[in-house]
Amino acid sequence: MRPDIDRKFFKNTTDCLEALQKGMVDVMVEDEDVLTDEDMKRMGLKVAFKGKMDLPTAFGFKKGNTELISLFNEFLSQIRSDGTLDSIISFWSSKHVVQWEDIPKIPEVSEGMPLKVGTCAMNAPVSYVLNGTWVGMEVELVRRFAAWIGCPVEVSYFDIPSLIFGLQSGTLDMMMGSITITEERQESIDFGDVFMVKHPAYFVRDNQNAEGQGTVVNRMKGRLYQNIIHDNRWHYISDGLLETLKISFFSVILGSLLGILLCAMAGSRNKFFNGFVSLYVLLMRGIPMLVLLLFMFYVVFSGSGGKPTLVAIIAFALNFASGASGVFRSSLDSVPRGQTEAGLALGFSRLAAFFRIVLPQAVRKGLASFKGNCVTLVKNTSVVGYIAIVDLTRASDIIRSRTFDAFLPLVIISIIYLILAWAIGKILDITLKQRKAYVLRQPS
Amino acid sequence: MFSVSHLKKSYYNADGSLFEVLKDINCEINKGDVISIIGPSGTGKSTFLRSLNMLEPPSSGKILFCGEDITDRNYQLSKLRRRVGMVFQTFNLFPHMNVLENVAYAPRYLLNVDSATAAKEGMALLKKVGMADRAGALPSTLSGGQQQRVAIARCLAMKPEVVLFDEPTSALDPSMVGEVLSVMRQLVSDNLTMLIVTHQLKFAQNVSSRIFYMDEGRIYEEGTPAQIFGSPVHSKTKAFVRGIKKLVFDVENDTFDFYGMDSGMTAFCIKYGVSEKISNLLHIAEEMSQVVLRSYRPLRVALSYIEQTGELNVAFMIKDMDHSPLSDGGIDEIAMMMVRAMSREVVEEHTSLGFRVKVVL
Repeated sequence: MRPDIDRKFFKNTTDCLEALQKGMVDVMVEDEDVLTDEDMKRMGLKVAFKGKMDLPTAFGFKKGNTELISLFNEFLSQIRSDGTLDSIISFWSSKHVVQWEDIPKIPEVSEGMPLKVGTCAMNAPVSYVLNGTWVGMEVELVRRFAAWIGCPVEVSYFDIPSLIFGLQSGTLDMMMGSITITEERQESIDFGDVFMVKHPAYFVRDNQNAEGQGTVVNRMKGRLYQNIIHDNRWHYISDGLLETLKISFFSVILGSLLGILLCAMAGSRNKFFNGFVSLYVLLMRGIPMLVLLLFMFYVVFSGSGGKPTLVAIIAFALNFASGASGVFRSSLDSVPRGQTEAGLALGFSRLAAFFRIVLPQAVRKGLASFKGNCVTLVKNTSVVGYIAIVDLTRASDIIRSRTFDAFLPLVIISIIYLILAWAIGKILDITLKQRKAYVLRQPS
Repeated sequence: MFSVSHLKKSYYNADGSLFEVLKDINCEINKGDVISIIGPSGTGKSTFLRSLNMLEPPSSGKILFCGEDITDRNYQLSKLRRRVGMVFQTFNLFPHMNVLENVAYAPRYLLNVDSATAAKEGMALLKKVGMADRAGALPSTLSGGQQQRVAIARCLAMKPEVVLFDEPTSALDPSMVGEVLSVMRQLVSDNLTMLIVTHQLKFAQNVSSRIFYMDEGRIYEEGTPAQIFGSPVHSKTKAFVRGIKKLVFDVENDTFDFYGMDSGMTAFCIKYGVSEKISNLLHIAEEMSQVVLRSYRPLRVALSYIEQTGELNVAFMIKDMDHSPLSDGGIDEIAMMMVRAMSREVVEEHTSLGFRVKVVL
């Protein structure tokens, strides 16, 4: 009798491993070389059996990019014939933990247009980050290829649909990440020659092999060490934090300026301006932030070879502006007309009445919702990983892909986001609220 | 000071129709004048006042201030407004500043008075309106009357040559009207030029040098308080200054709804604050219309309340009658005695329309 099979799909090996360890799934199907024996022992897993199926693995290219494909194939046959390919494969597939010092350093060309390569794998041995650098079997292959044709190389991490889109839109030149050739995929991209045939392995829990050693405190200490200290992994977090801050800060500034413009347009008597603002707000409210981000990256700025960080700032600023303009408008409208009239009647000009009397009151009223918008923006920036920016969230993904610890890195960055949200509130309070419009001491 | 000629102002209503608030206003306002603008609601009093400092720009016509046309596009309005103060119905104090800052803010920034002087002068003004001890308070912690007094001090801080008061006591609880009017009375004795839109007729009569009675979008009648309140020329003015309110019932025959009349009269008395007279009034109305004058139909019953004197009377009018029905034989003498006992006075008078028996309560 055959049990029913319930299949679950996980976006990355880390999450799948966690599910396997926690008993949410019973079997994990992955490349046989994805875990070292040491990893398996630590996690209490074993390979139940190896699959017989052949998985021809190759690099993907934009459809019809024959020039680059033939170059690559030529390179491949050359390293195959001189034995380099075999030694690369055996080095990375040997199922032991690869040390940074042992990884061959391929001299890199620094001048010229870079070869842009996207990978959908962030796990050993295919492609992963070590010491802040992309390493792995396929990474070494593209590094050697780039050196061979004489250009620098740029590796970034995307999911498969984004990779295919990136190839088609020209944002990427090649895609990799243990990609198996299938007929379906061949319809949208072209593949280079097969460089390796892989076989799947079926991983299951191995209760005899489980490591239960150490007290809770000691295990926790070990996890903290693994996730933060080892290999200077805190660097990913601090760099990611900086990226998150950069995107958030500039988006708020740019978005607020844009929001002021929209707010002025909404308040004008011009019907066209009013209509434009309504439509803009409707669009921005309706489109999910991630979709807007991907649209900006792959469609609007695809040709510019764009810097992802800049694209993210623009996308988030556009989104932030719609909310900010609403906050500005409603806080200005909440100041009664009589306040302007009182100012005018005293002899203030229209401009002076606005800036000296209406605005200070509006700021007070709108501050709380503005703070809320800022905090939402900061948290929303966690999706920028989709366009290959290593922000705080993506930094935790990198750490997780190395430590296979599903939660600790997430807990750490959650705490950082929490502190950020609190700090933003404080900073806005100090810069906007505490400033009194006008202070006068009573004469004694 | 102000010379207004052919001032007109019209709005487009929401339905697109044109509404003329001010139809044709002509007047002269001289230094030292204290002018009260009175009249029914919706006749353009506030609009006229607000056009004098161009918060409400007119549609046509001219306003000269010290010889200069302020409706001119090139006229610098902030210059005008520094010399013409305004006090609003809703006070419009700046809620984010304390009392003293409210008063001293405009001189500090518009007249470049230094902080210390602005504070000192502000305190002097607050003392004048009796608010010096609340100088550090926020407006939201003050009563309506206190806020309006601060607003007056704020307006005076710019040392205006004329002050426009736009219904300064209309938003106030009746118990707070007095304190604001006292402050205004003090300003009158300081010889400040003032224009006051108000519903406080007694106050207008006592302090004004001139009264504008506005109706139908124009200055309907103008004169000294003695003229306007003592011997108004137009009947509309008269009805307004006397504050005559009327409620009329026509009793055609005995199918008339007398209970409906009772409830109408009750509501009228409650509305004008004479509910203590309801019981007597209903008795009188019943005895007169259903007993004493039972055989006189049609009968017109007119209930009147005169605000100026507080008099309430109910008149019974028999059309085309040349003598008093009370002198006819056969009326119910006992009922008539009861009516006389419950009333202050019974007046029998012959009018052009017929004969009227007026019972004053």
